[in-house]
Amino acid sequence: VKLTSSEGTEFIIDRKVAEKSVLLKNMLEDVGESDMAIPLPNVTGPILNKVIDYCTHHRDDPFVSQEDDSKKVSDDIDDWDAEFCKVDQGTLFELILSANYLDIKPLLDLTCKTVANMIKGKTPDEIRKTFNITNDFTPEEEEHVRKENEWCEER
Amino acid sequence: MQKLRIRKSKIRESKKKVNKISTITKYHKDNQLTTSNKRTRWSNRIQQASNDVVDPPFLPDDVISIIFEYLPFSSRFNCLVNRSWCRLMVPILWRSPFKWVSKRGLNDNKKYIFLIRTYLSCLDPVSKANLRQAGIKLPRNPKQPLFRYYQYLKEFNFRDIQTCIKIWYDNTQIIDADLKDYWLRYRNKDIRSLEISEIGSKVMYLMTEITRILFNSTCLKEFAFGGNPKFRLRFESFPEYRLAIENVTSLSLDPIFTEFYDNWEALLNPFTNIKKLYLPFYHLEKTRFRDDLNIIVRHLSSRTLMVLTWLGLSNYRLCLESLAVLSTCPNLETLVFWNCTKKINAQNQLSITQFLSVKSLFIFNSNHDLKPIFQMTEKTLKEIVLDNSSESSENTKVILDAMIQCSPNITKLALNINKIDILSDKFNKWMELSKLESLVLKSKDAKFKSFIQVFVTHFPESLTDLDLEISITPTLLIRILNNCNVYFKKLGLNDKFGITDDHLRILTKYAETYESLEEVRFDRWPVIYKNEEMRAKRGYESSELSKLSKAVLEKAGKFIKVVRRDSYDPFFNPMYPY
Repeated sequence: VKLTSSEGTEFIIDRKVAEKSVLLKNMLEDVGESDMAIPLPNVTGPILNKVIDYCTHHRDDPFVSQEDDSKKVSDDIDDWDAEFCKVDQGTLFELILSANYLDIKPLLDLTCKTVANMIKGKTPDEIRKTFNITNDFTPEEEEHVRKENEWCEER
Repeated sequence: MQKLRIRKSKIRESKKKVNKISTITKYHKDNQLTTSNKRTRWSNRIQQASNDVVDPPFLPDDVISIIFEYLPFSSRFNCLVNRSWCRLMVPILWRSPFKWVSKRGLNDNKKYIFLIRTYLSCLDPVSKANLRQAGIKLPRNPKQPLFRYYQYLKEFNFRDIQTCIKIWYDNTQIIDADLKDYWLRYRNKDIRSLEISEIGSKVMYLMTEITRILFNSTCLKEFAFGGNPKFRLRFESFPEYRLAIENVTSLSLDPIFTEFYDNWEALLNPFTNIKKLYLPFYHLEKTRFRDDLNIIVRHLSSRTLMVLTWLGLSNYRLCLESLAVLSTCPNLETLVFWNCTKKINAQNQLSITQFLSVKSLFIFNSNHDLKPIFQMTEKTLKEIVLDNSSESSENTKVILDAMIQCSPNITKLALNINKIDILSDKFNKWMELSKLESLVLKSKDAKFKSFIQVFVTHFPESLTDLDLEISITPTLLIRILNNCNVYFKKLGLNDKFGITDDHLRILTKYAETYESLEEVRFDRWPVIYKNEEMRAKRGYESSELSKLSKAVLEKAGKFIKVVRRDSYDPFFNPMYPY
């Protein structure tokens, strides 16, 4: 299967690897065998390269359906995956967007868990600093929000 | 003619290409449309902290929500950092607030008070006026609440709601001696003999108004009738009741609570989509339903009986004759027994005429032989989880004997047992002829190490997944792998002390030699019971994650597809929340 990144770089991968993406899987099933490259205008070359690395490593993983209600934890990342996610924040977010766009649920879960681990244990100010988030609450609003949700504050 | 054929073929090819291109373009358009739709005006712009990326990426709302779902509860409040994150986090926080504050225990009264305070602020002016007229002092909130917090409630547990309201009342109103006496009487005396006092009526008013507003939730999925039956509300008379429970799929009925209702039909019939039914018999001696499931089951709607897939009984006085009523549930797949005791004078020999469609049976601390259950599920039963570690070995042996006699089709078995001796020759023979694919073993018996070396020689060929929650030294691991005649695809070494490089080297060698091993799991203990409070609750000591060197892991990765920490507890009791 040929894929073209947003800059026009072409990647040739096994069909099995490509099919880790539900988007590509459905597309390949509908279109059939073709030597035409599939353009992926939302994914840059370096990110597509990482995504392919991930899909290749996990090519034989069984499809695991997770119940919506099942307990979600972010500590169960295996070592290869943890190493895979050791990238700068921009790349991590690009990976999340690509996993979302290409519909690769295990990669989306992995990258989301990694961000969750970055949030864990941080104060609101530390979270804002880490993700460069602007506090758009007015002081009264912030106080109001905190008061209404005070029952879930861990002291 | 030949040229015409070639031309036609070229046209066909070109049409095909056009179709393919248009299909691909359509996919992209569709997908981009979906993605852009997800980015609502509230979507958060998380800007890149580092300067190396010129155009900072946006994360759509649904992705941020997924990230939030992975956060432990203790980290969620701190995510209320701006309007956008707040809007995404509030629905998550307010799905099961009663459960969360109850988890904190009664020592943290403030949490209960804060929670009720916010719900009270959401009441409409008429409700507030009614409560004030009834003599209840409400907090003054000049500002409107920022969210309709009640809308997000997913779990309606009346026992927890009662507890919260009582604590709020106790701590915010002028408490006189009568009230203290009232609560004291509630705690100590038979609840049947209590009359609702004047103060009790005020509490009822509060429960009514708060329940009414909670019934406006658009996402109720779980509903639990329970708590003090003196404070039972006529739920079925609330105009919002039917609509609120329309999508409820999980129902918990505490029989001592519900037996006070005169009109069961009006209460239970509106539930039409119950897939999970919990029956926690907290007050075993007090309920008249203690040994007759029939009375409860016959009040459920016929639609519920059709769709029911899961039934859990705790503290039930097992009357196996009455379990035959479950044959009216054609889709019942899972049965859970927790702390179930034998009914006095129960018949030991039953002629089994009714069969159940149950595939999975979970037994926790049962002292009953359960043989009729195994007989009733003979054809369908595939999975058994037996955690009888707090029961006598004799009781566990009786259960296992029943399984050996009646259950030839088991493919998944998880055993947590005290004494390893109860796995007799009979058990070994059953296992040799079984269709077992997955086996989990857990025991504190010191003899386990010598036992397992022989035990593995009885594994059937079908067994590909073995999980041991006992201490396995590298030497013992080699013996186990050498002694058994099967090729494992998955192995779990989940001793609380973790595994070492030596363990992983042995498993890598095994995978290299036999090319069967695909997955190695470990560290279930420290992963699941990492939280100190949780460990203390379960009486577990602290343990650390395995320390494995990078080189060993890398080599393992070449031969074993998945090497991971385990977070799934095969002995988790699904009745635990109830």
